Amino acid sequence: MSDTTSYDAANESDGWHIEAVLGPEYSEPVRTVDAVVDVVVDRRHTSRLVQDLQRLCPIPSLRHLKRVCPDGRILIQLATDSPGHEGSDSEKNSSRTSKCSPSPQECKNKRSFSETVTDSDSGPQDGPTSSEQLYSTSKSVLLDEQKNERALPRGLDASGLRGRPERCAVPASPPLTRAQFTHAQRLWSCNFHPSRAVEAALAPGAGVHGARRAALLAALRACYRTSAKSAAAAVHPHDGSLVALAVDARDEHPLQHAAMRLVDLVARTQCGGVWTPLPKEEIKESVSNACGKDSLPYLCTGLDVVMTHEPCAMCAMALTHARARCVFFSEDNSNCGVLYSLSPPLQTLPGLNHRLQVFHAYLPEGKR
Amino acid sequence: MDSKLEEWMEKAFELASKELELGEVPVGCVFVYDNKITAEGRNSVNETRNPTRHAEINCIDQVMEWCRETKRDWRSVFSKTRVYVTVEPCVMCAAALHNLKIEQIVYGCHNDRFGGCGTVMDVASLYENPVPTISGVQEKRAMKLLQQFYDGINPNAPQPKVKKRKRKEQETE
Ligand SMILES: [Zn+2]
Ligand SMILES: [Zn+2]
Repeated sequence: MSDTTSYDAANESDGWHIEAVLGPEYSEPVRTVDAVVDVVVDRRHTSRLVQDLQRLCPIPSLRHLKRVCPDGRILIQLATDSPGHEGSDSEKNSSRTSKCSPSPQECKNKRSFSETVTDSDSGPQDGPTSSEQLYSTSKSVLLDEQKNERALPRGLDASGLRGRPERCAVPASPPLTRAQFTHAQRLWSCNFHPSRAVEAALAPGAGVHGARRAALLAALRACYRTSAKSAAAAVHPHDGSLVALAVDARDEHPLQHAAMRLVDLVARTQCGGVWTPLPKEEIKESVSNACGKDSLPYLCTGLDVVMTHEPCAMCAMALTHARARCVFFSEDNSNCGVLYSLSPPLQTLPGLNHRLQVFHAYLPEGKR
Repeated sequence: MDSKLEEWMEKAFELASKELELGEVPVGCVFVYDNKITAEGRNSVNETRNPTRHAEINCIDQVMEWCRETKRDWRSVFSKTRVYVTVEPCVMCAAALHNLKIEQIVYGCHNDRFGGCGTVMDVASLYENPVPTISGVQEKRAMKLLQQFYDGINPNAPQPKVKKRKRKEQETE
């Protein structure tokens, strides 16, 4: 079983327990990367220094960091052996980031870092870290070899600076959670754009709540009402309406698991689709009539997908291809489920260009 | 050993090259049963607006249709079907082929973005009896086709539609 963040959902009157199934990078400490920093000794020069540095050596991979900390430390550039140095593409660069005091446990989890994190978090992320790089060469040696990086960038008016650049570990990627933000702040002044979905998932007592919770649970009930072996529904993120509902037809056709049919029904709402809808299935009326290309997001982009059962590898990848926002399922599937029953779960694999948010919803007594 | 392996792969490459000429994702796939081609597949993600319509998925649908028309049992047909595809099947397609207990999968080059035969995920490890898989058949040729597509080299289109191609990259394998 994968990492699951579980909270007491007793406050919710509907009685459901909803757990976010998050990848380990949400609970791990902030990764760091070495940068060259100096100190502003004359504050009157601060804003000019910041402007000059942004122009002379912008650091695209560290956009989540403030250039100057309140204590006067100022970010000059990445250390010369760091990823992203001299404009290398930090998103593609297999990184050389290191964690604060890496433990063997953290190294074991290295595979779970991924480029794409959440819908609302933007900004560059570093790619997977390889274990030998986690145990980086001792810093004093590096400093000796890289004396030239102690020089300030050519063309920089150093007035107001102490003029003694030093190496310093700074947060390598934007913090994903409030806890990581607090930790990152201790290293360097940092921007934080909390993802509502992640915060909701991590907040005590709530995985999914309010209107969204009601809409997802209503869709789940609609799925169960079909009494099909399994069913899946796509829910519109804005009004919680049902975009499509599909049932499993794998006995007649081996590809037609509920999620595969669902993706095809959603394509039908966009004037596409291949398979004929089945009697128990639903397609949002207004959408199928209008066939409007603007009325819905392309593919399943941004849609919430509700399923009676944890999807298999084929279905989970189909929903990944379709860029669904989240998968919200009720019954786990230890035989072939890959979003909860598999370790590490599919949504945490590095290299996938879209990451599903996953929620496991269940009733404690097993009733529905 | 499959004496006709190269011949079937050649057929898959012909399909892939044809796709490249049309400006589509150059992936070709053939399903072979009883020494006959039962399905020829190409990616149809864009025209169906369904991101799961990869070449392999389209081939599976064709074989299902053929079984229905000829009143054959699809389970036994798939268990004696071999799949030849120019690019490593993605996680979804690999899982579909393992689910079907296909006789053998043969592919050309790796699929760095979605490969389900070990590149992004080793789907076979989820199965007790995974489908035997042969990889790296004419790997360079397959890779070159993909590279040409991503570089926007389209032999029949003097004015490549950059915007369109970019969108396709995102939506397809
Ligand atoms: Zn499935
Ligand atoms: Zn595929």
